[in-house]
Amino acid sequence: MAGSASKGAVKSATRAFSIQRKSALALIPLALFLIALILALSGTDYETARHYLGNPIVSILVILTILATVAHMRIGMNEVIEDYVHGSFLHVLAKTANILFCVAVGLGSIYAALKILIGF
Amino acid sequence: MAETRQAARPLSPHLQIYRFTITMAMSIIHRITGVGLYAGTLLLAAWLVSVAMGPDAYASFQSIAGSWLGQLILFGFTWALLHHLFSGIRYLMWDNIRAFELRQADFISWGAAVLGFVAAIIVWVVAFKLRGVL
Ligand code: HEM
Repeated sequence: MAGSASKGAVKSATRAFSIQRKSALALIPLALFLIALILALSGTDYETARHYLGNPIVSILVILTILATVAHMRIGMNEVIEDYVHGSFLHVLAKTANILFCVAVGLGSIYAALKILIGF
Repeated sequence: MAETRQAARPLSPHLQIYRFTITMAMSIIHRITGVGLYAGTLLLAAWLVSVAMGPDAYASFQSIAGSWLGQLILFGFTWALLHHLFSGIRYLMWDNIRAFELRQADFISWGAAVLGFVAAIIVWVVAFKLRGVL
């Protein structure tokens, strides 16, 4: 019984590792894209910002960047919590807060990006 | 039982004895920038939400981002992202067992640190040039 439980934990840890590395790989071009986009829009007026972010290709890239970032940072922070936050209650609380934060940032950003794109 | 456990075990060296190594510093900075970027995603979300909300919200965002504190934080975010990116590439290389030889590891670590910093400066010089400040 204990054996199968730990096998499950090992499996999910391997999966997390793999997702973190793949998202890191995806984030190399996506983060550079994001920096270029912010650079192009730094200090511009509202219309220009909206025009750029309303472009379907830009919008899809922004959404992909958000997805990759959120997947990557959830696992990264989970690892940090494993290392520093001990005590069963705090540990569970921190991990739950991590998930909520990542989901909130992800959904909020994607909602905003879609709203700019489609204008609902 | 307890006695045998305590007997003749080598003590691990005290932390102060450890010599500074660039790979060690880089792994700490990688973690710090990772956590900083984690918090920084809130800025990214705020930026997108302000554009989605309309001209007034966008103007508020810009005035905060444009303040000296805002600019300082944004520069920090730029550096953290570029540093973490170049530093992260090392991990991806090492996963595939390349450049694990000690000298190479040191060289690549210094390279990532320098690249991250220089790239952040370049991004900001371009940003100021685009805005006509420089
Ligand atoms: C906004 C974007 C990003 C955020 C919020 C972020 C966040 C994080 C966090 C919180 C960690 C955990 C730190 C640790 O365990 O020490 C981490 C680890 C990592 N990040 Fe990122 N990261 C981002 C972008 C990137 C990019 C662009 C790369 C490119 C290669 C990358 C590569 C990595 C790697 C390889 C690790 C694992 C390090 C390890 O195994 O200790 N990250 N990231």
